Amino acid sequence: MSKPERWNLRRVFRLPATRARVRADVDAELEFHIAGRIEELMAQGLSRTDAENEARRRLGDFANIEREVERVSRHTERRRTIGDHVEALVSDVRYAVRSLIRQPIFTAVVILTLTLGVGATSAIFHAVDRVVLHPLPYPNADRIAYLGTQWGKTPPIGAVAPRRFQFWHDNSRIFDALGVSTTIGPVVGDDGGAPVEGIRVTQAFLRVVGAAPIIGRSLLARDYTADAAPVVLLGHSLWVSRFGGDRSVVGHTVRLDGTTYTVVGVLPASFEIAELATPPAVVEPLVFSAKALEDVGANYTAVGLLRSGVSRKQIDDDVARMTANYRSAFPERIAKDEGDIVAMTYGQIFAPDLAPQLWIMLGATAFVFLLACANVANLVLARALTRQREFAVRAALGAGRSRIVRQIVVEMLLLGVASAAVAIPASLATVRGLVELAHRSLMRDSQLHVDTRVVVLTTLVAVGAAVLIGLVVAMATTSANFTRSLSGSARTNATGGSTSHRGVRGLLVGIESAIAVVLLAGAGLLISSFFNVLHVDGGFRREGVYTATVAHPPLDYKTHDASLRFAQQVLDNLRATPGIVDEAATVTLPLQRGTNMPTTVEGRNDLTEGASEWRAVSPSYFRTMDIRLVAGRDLSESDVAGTTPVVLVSESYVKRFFNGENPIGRRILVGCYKGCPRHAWEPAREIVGVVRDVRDMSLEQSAPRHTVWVPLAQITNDPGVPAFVVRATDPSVAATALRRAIADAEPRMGMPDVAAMSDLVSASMSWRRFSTVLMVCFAALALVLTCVGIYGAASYAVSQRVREIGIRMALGARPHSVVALVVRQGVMPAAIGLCVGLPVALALSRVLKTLLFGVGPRDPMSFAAVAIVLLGVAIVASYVPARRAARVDPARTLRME
Amino acid sequence: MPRRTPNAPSADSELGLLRGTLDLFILKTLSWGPMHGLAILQWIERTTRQRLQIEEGALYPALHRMEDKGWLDAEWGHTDVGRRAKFYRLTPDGRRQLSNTIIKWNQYAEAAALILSAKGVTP
Repeated sequence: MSKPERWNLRRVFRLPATRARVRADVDAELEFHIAGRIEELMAQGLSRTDAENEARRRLGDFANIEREVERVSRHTERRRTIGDHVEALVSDVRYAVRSLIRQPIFTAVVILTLTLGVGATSAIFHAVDRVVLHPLPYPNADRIAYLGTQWGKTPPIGAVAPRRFQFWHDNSRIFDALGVSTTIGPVVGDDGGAPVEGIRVTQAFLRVVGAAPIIGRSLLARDYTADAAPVVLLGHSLWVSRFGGDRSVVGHTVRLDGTTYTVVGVLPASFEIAELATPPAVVEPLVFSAKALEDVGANYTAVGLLRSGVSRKQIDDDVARMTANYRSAFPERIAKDEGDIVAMTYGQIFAPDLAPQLWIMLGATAFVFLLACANVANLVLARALTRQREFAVRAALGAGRSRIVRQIVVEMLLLGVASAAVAIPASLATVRGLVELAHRSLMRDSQLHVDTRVVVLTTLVAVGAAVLIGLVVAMATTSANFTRSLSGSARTNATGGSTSHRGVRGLLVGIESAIAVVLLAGAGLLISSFFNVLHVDGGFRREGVYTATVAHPPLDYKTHDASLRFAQQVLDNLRATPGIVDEAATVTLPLQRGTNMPTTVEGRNDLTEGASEWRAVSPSYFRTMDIRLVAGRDLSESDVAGTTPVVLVSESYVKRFFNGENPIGRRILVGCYKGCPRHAWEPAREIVGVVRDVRDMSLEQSAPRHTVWVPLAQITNDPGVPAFVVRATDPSVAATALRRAIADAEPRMGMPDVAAMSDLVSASMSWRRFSTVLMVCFAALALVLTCVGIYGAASYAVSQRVREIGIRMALGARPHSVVALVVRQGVMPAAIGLCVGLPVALALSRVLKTLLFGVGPRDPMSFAAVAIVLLGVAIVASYVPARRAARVDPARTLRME
Repeated sequence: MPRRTPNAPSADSELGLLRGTLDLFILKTLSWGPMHGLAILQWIERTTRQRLQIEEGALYPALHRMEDKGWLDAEWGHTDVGRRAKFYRLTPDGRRQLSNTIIKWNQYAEAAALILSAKGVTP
């Protein structure tokens, strides 16, 4: 009996069987069978032809058998191949887990580093996604675009005038639906519950945002007719709080601000709009009256559902076409400085300041991520080098290079998965704090849901980076010195391949240093900017000033007279309170949103502008806020309705319109652009004084705005109940006095919001604080990682050169010269990284320009500080191993051989 | 992955071969040592003194099916005269399958023998 002599090489090497291979095997087997039979039959005396026929007859339908056997064989091969892979993977994973557990510090540091890199990227990406890209849970979020209004080159605002909307609604070609909304409220019900906020919307609006009622019906065309009965959709929260979630609520009535509305439906809890931090409690139909259509004020949010497949260019073309058409259709409105329509994204409208910051931060995290990768590569390389003997032994026992490469890659795969597992929950936990740090009102609860895209991306990035690092390091370390290190002694390591490995480690440290320089430079510039803003002189007093705002005045405070009487009473009450030094009322608190008003110098329609800052204050405001009078007189208690209308203007206003002339006694028209040809909004006002410029829009405003200050007692419009400011010696006195004065004047006013002026200043810097804190964190992280990298490389170098150092010392080298040697070598890669990183940082700092304040993107002080910090860290990080080297005992190292 | 093992064509010849019997014979034959397909066939023919004709067309699908089940291992080797042939041998699984089947067969044969040798019982 014969014996198998040759093994299937493909099987031995675990190569997959090809289809052709299987077929050839089957053919060979059957041919062998027939040949054997023929011999047998010929031996029994048959002729060759007869024997062949007989053999084929006995076997039966050859092709059929062939097919049959082939089918089974292929199945077997497939199963075997998969089995091989699974088996190999399981054994690799098991081995990798064991070897990682044996080195817990390495494992922990790699996971921590990767987690920091990946987690930071993921958290910022999440924030960008949530705040800028996909902030609202609308079903067609990708196709939603907003319309905004732009005046000249100034940044557009995300609102439009009614006529504008109507024109676009009727003529634009890029939208499937174009809706508009405006916020109402707070509105108060008759049941004494808390006031609620709501919106008025056109019918198309609900279609655009994909809001469908969970109970009842949506708003229909008949709700928009002139004689329609008032109807309302309830927000989910109001439905629950006021109707107890009653499913038969449709048909009930609610009274809001004195009008009775019939409930026709309830919207789902997920329905939100960008303008309100909480979902709207009520949604009413919005119909533009003929009068509203004449309004040039941009006070409505227009949101459209783009037709699917509309390109950016088609949008731009449509905007250009619509602008031209509108300009020729309504020249008189353009003349009223109505501005032009632009298409905007959510981020541009609702997070205009935050969006660029978030993108910059995302860029910064990319650097942090790269740095983390370089550090991990450094660690993995170091570990691979110490395992050279292990690999060499395994190679000698028959493990191929691919097997060892695969083992390292599997280890990295596990580390990547572990990092992702830590990074995902960590970044989800961070993202809320992150955005709150930036701006509280921009974060909604609905934005905090776990997003599968973010989770998948984070996992892919973590695992991908880890595997790639493993692959590169494994290929590099297994390339040439297998056999060399098997014969290995300290000597081969000291002279041979490890020199190139030291080079690789130096390169990695250099890269880390360069990245750290970029991040440090960014952080340095932002820190300078932060302190510059902190020390900006706004032109008004902060210390000892306290403010109070009334959130929800009662319904009957609907006229300016009522508000004025109330304000007068509060000021009288405050004046009578001990501890209050000064007190004033103002429509606009510093650093809050102000009011724009066109102004024209009387008789000079060319001396005009569409948007001067308009402030209405009580006479004591300038004294309270310490805003210095430059010329003329202060407002006085006698500037009331019925006396000569007066106005104070800012220095910049004088500079703009009265170039060198004395403005006192001149008259201006407030509320009029290029004069008031037909109906004057209010009588001309006489300029009685000039006050210093203030930066009361924002401390960072590049130039003071041209401001007109009018007496609160003399205005003819109704800006609502004013806010109050007091100067007091003691914060608690101020807070109590403000609350009491307001409650005594009108018990129904409710609790006012009281804040110190310094807190308002601080709150106005929250976005800046956000980017600064984040960048500083990134830079600190970068510094720590670089420090670890330098330390690791220097320690490794020392351990490799113990003998050489021993010889040097035996030959008379002093310890300090050994220290200098090691430190020099440790600092060198960092210095090279610095030389590369500085120009990169200088080039990149330009993108930070929008975030900088009072410091240029090439501020020499900041960059010098970066260089000093980095070199300092490099020296410290390599000094520790250098000290160890200096304590080497020459006698012992020489005996080591 | 759906596991589809082709059905062996039912083998029947002069003395009709019961379903599953071919597998058993192959297992038994291979218990003597590795053999190629033709040798298995010749061994069965010799042992049964040509009384049992195995349908040759059924042999190879059966061998491959058993390899797929893990009862057999196959390797290419050379015969005594140096011709290349595919050799089959039993795996530990195959050996276990063989002894299980033999036990079942014997039980079956005993039961069958009892029935066939039974004397008629008068009611």
